[in-house]
Amino acid sequence: MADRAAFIRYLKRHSVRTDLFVSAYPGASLPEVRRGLELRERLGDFAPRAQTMSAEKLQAAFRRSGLA
Amino acid sequence: MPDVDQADLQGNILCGYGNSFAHVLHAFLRVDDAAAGRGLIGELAGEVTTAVPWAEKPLETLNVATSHCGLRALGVRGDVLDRFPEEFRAGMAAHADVLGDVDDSAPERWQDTLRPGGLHLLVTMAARTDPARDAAAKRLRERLPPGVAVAHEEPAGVLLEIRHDEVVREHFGFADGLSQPTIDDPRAGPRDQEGRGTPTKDDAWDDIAPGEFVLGYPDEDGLVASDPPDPLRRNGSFMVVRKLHQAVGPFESYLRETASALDLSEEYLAAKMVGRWRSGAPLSLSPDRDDPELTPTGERKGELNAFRYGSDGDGSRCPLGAHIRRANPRDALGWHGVLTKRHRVIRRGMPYGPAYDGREADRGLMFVCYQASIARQFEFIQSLWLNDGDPFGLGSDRDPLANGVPSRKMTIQGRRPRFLASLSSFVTTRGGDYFFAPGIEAMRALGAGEVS
Repeated sequence: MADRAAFIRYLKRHSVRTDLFVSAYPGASLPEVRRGLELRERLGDFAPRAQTMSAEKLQAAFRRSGLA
Repeated sequence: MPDVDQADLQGNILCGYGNSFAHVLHAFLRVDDAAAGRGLIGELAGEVTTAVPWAEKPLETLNVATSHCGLRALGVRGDVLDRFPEEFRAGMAAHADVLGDVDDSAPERWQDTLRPGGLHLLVTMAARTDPARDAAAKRLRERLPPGVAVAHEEPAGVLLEIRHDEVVREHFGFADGLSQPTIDDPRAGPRDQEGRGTPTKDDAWDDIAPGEFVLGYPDEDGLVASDPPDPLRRNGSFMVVRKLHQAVGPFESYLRETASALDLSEEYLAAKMVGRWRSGAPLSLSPDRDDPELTPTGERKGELNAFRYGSDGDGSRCPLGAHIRRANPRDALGWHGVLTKRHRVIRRGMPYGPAYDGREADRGLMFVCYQASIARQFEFIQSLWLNDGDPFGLGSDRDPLANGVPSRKMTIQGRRPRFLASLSSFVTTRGGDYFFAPGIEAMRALGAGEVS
């Protein structure tokens, strides 16, 4: 960003005070939420494949998947 | 609150004609001569079947609706046309992305005669016999004035081949139409039946305000729609019509292969995808096995809808992403029915095409639903509840029977969860549009050119 301080000043000047604020993921930053969503997608693809695997195969596939 | 004016409301909206009217024809008309079209509407105003209860059942019924381009083709004034809701003005094809009508369901691939812009008027004839339906269709064709022509005819009706007793089934084999909303009016529709209205916090069910389905009456928020202007508004209802092809062979193969891979029964899988056993018995009341008593002809038929999802928050009885739980979540989103009561529709669809006999054919559902707002009701349900998983904590999972892009997976919750993957698109949109079923006086006014 070219002028970070100016951008923050702009946001502050145009912000509206609220009494109520809803946060779906309290304390999580945007990149964290994005990483969480991506992990969920990958886990969602992995689970159907894994449900018919033997314990050994499941362990090996889980290691390979990078989900750990 | 005023009672619904049954003499001015078209029939089959709040109160269905019933399954004895098993032979249906949807005749879509094209109007090239506005005056001729108005003449026809004016004549039909005196003939349409109203919502007045019958002393004796007629042999056939007739109802009329018009799309937005149909209103334009009838010469309705621009300032009146502009006061219809945005989604109705745009038409169904324009909202393909909202509805998930993409890939094979995309409007470019719809049936030629069901493409956007070509369907002006819809005359629906429902009869108790095939000959009565055909005779009504013939009479309609013969009376069409020059400048009004049939654009497409779509027969539909109860699948008599797979009808068991009074249970009406759709092509995948499920008993259908079991949870129609009950209506808060002394006469106009079904009333006071457990599980069909809005779940309340004291464990009861409230009938739904008629204004959720018919314009001119208070809705669930106590508001009365102000548009379109009278005389069109009063006793009008918005109608969604979609021809939905069902790939029964692939659905059956999917059930067979997946059931075998997961060591479950096909019927169990089918039930988990839909939320009811094919018989109609709800998983919420009978999660492990089908229950012949809990069916439309069973001893406990009054309990077919006597369930909520609040006590099944983890989906171990009815999966969180099952079709009926998505389409009508009842109390599943919390706050009893507060978050769901403004998103109900009345369904009047009927199957088309031959019952499945092992061969692929053009078969599916002529989906029809009525509501006061297509955006708030049909489109909301379709886009947020069927085509997405977020409202139910299911990420990007979609309804397993949704049109367009198949869901990547479906989770069957339980002590040992099961996952359905490699779902294909078992349902494909083949055409349709958004229509408006005017009141009788509105039809007369249209016919007389009062809004031209």
